[in-house]
Amino acid sequence: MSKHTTYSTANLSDKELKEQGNRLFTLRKFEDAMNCYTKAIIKNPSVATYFTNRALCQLKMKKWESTCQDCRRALDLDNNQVKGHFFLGQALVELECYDEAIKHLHRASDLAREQKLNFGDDIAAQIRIARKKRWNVQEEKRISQEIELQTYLNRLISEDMQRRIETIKVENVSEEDANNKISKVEEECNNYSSELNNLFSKIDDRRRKRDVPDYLCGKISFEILNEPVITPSGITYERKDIEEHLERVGHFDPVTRVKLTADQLIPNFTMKEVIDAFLQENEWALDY
Amino acid sequence: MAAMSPSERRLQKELMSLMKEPPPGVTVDGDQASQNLTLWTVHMEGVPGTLYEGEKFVLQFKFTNKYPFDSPEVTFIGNNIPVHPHVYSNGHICLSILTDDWSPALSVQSVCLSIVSMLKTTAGQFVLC
Repeated sequence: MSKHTTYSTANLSDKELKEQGNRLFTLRKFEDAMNCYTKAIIKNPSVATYFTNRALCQLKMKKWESTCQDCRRALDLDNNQVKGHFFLGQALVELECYDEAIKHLHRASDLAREQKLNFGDDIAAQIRIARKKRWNVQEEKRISQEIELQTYLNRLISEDMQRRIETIKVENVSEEDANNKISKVEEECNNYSSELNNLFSKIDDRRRKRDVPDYLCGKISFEILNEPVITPSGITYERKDIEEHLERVGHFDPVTRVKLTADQLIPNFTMKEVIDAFLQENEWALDY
Repeated sequence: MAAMSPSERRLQKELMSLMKEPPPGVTVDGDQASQNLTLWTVHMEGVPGTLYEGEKFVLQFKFTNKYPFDSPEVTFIGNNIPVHPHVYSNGHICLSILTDDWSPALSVQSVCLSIVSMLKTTAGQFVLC
């Protein structure tokens, strides 16, 4: 701890301690800030903000478990704390508890809307990250299960072939007949096996060819739209991109070059619904 | 993969689609561009039936981190610069979409197409720039 911050804090009230913590936090002295919030909590353990502030310090210090603890204590005091749910969600993502993380992030997003708090795209971006990470884990699991199933089925086919060949061998038929029968069985089983492998490789191909269709992408970022807005020319753009264009490049529609100002942009909710439906089915496309 | 900036993400996407489906006569040096996304080399063949038939040109694209809000800087490089009223002998190209008429809805592909079609029209089309 630097000399500067070691002056006595014994006489400060919990509120003053919190303010001291906030100052240290802006200086990115997370550990010192955390200590101030701890002292504030000791003086007055019934203020949820002290816990969420300390949680944010711990989040910055990558102490995920303690972040969760503080968030939960804050939420025990006040279950409508946007930040409590938001930081808890972020820490849970790091701890790979995706379902719970997504639940808390959605709660944070709903509460922020109800309380008319503007966190920009922050909460939505965290939800996308959490969903994408959850999807990655599930996908990995799906792939390994498929490989297991494919191996298992191939083994069944080959065991069945062996069994049928053995039966033919003990039958009372001429060697020529037996050989004919055996080669028939072998051919049949090899066909089954290659058809099976074809089927699985098709699934694999579909995985590799995953692409977001162009019509779901912004005409400026070339990425899947997140907040689509439509212009009087009927072209849909990502809101932040078209706003940046109007500010930096000029007051015209980038595609049609018709005069355009920011107040003419209209949210394209239909497009948003289409994209949400696509993402529901294709969680791999959630970008971050 | 390290987090890419929005301009790098867009350039990455453009590079992929230009390598997969290039316009006729246009090829991008994919290895070089993926090493450094802000500097691309694009090879262009003279269009059959024009003055430039059989010639090979090299274009250089330079992007800032504000792309696509900033236009790319596009010049002919190497020792074969097309002789054309809108191309200076040092390779500078006089094309309005590269300066005043740039729009972020344009892309490397559309710039290439514009240059191809500019090279198709030559006779008596002097424009001051």
